[in-house]
Amino acid sequence: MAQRYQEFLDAGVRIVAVSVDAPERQAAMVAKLDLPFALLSDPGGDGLLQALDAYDPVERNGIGRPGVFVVAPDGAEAYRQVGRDFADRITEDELLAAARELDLPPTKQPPLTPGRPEPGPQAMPVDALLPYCRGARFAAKAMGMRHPQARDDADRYVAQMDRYRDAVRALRERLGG
Amino acid sequence: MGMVAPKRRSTGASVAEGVDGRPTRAVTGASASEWMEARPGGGARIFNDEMLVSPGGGAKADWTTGPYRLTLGRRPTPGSSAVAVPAFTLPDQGGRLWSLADHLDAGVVIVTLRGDW
Repeated sequence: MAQRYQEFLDAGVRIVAVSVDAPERQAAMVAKLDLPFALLSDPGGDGLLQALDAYDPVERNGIGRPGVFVVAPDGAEAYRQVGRDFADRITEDELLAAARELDLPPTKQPPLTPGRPEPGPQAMPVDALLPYCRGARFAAKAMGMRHPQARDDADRYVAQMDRYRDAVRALRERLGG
Repeated sequence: MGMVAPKRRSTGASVAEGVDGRPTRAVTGASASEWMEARPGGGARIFNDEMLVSPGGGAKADWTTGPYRLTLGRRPTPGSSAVAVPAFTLPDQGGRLWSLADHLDAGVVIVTLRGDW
């Protein structure tokens, strides 16, 4: 999404992301992934995540559920997808198609607020992201082969990991790594 | 599989169905329970908080071999009651308050993340 952010702006939509983490951790994520959009903090999920039904109160004492919601300028929800797990996301092409259906003029991203990055103890360094994607891809491929009824799901996951891998490679190039 | 225009359901939910009758996309604006009400007699069920439909859409469907997730949504058709996203204000990565209302001069994509990283 970050890689193709200009396409979203050209479609007249801005992106904002929300999780339960504190602003300092969000700032660390913005810095690490060179994100062009804001990350909002909703600890406990009662600011937004719960209202969107995108909050799991059980796992890790409460975390968000991965999802996307396209909001039209009149405040109406134009599109939503809430995934089952961290890798269950629609593609950028699907999301862009939903955004373009709003038929809006291009927009711009306001400057981001600088933060004071403090990564959490579980934060994965950029250098670990590529092997992580490779391992997740390999495991999904194997599970799809073992369980034919899950093959379609596994193939989608593999494709997702390929997109993540490409995004990480592009990020490393951008950061000069 | 071709697609046809979304069908309105009595609950306000609408569903885009493939030409073979296999639902592939659900209009949100309807909760899972609303969607179930719109399909009395089966054809869909909720599993792990996901709406699943059988390829044939019938009550005798084999849920283990062909469930299709219905989490993708489309904007309700004109004239239907659109679902408003709640107004919200949350701190951004720099601690500055970010309000949805301030950004509705354009469209907004809200991405929800698991967090705890």
